[in-house]
Amino acid sequence: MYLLIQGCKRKDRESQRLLYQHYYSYALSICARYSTTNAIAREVVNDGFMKVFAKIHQYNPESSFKAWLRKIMIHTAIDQYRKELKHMNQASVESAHGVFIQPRAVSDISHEELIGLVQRLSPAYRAVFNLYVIDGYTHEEVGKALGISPGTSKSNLLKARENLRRMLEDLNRVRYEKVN
Amino acid sequence: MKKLTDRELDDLFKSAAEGYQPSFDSADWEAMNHKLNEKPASTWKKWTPFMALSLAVFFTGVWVGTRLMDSHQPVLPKEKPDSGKAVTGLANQEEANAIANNKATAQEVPLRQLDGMRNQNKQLTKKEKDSDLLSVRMAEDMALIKENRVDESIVYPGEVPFWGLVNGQEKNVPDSVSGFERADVTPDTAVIRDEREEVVKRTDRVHSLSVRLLAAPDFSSINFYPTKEMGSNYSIQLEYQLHPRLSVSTGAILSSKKYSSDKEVIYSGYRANDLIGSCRVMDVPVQLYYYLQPDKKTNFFAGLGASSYLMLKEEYTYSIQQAYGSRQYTRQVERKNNEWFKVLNLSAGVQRAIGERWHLQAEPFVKVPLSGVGEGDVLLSSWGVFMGFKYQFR
Repeated sequence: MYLLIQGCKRKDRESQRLLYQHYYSYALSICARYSTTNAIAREVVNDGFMKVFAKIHQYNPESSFKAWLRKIMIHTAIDQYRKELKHMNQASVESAHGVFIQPRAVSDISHEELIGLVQRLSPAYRAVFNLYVIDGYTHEEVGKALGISPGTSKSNLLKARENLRRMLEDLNRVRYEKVN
Repeated sequence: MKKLTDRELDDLFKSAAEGYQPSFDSADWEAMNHKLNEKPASTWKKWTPFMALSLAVFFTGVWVGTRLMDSHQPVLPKEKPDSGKAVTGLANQEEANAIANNKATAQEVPLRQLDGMRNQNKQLTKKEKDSDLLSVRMAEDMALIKENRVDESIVYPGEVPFWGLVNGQEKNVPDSVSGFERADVTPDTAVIRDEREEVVKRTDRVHSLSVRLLAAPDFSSINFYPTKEMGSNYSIQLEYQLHPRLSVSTGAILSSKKYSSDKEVIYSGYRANDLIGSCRVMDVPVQLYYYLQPDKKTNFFAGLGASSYLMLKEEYTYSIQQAYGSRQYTRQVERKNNEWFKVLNLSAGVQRAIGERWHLQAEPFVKVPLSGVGEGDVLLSSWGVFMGFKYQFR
């Protein structure tokens, strides 16, 4: 890894390719949850790697490279979220009443499908859900990153969870209907 | 049956995020490699095509105009007596002939010789006043003489000889003109008192260059659907007069276009249920103008041309019907699309002279799409009214 990073600092294309290939899957798994589609996620990944290669001199070798890359990918995804938000009418959220699902059905849902459900959230809910639940930010940090108040962050998280429950229920119903 | 708690829900998606491992796609590295190879283009490089096009159009217009001018160049009378006739009003015929033969420049003419001319002009008859145009030219020549540093103190209003001697160049003097109305011109201001205000010297302004500064509201829509939002247009254009009635114009219009549609539209080949668009566009028009009354202070005109759209920034939000319902998408791109001559420009307007060189202009316009433009390949039409000034260089 050290040699790869040194190669990237010299702008050696082969080193850049190997680093890209090594961390591509990890980077895309982060960006996919923040993006509306996988196509957009791949664009975000490449934008993120552009930043990685441009700022590689700022990387501190004593810390984890993976954590540094993760941070850059999240920030790049948030930049994309800001662009999306400009014209996105926030979807009105109906209250989720009494959503029950079959535990076995949940376990059957693939990771890819679950990420697909996260992508279906509105950008504001998706960003808060990802930052708070998956990436471990506090509501204060989420508010700072997205330019919203901690209260709005909590509210959006609540609505994001409600939407996800409803989508899981829909998914479960479709599967049930298919089986029968 | 179990209600999923917040913690269970969070754990479910956390594990999905950790376990999700998309496979490597070599096409993405190709895109990345291409991106790394791209050097950040400097601003002037981005505008090179636009500059080259504008310059090409402009100089072509100038060239065509020059050719037209050459083909209409009047033939100068070669015989001396004719020339002498043309400058009647001089104190003596010998001076007139000498001047008409272009043997002396304006500076070289002994200005004191002109002293005797003033009284001569009293003999002018009403017949001799029949050309306002000539009076205007005389005023212009007086101004040019001033530029040649002729002593103003000994240049008298309406001195005829200079009419044929601007910068030492012989001019064609109509035979019909034999005199001037002295009171119409003063040496300091060269102002023409034109009793018939509608007749002005704009007929002399062929092959001149103008700059136009205009602004307009922008109403844009897809397929001419009614629009609610308003954008803006700010324009700077150069206009070259090819003929008293015909001119060519080009320049740049910085345009903000906002539009939306609740009806079904085609976005990038897809049927979108609705669409909200917002674009910043550098509109590069190439336009021909036809002036209906070039010799009037108030002049009506019509324009026809085409525009190229350099899409600086595009933002779209649209919905597409899918199996589980309508899904909303957003798309934002910057400086990705350049649309060359895909928009037809039609306009009609009026201009009013407010001085020697300034004009006020109002120009309602409509821009009709000849093809889809931008990321969504949408048929974007626009209309509005340009208002502003035109400054005409001599």
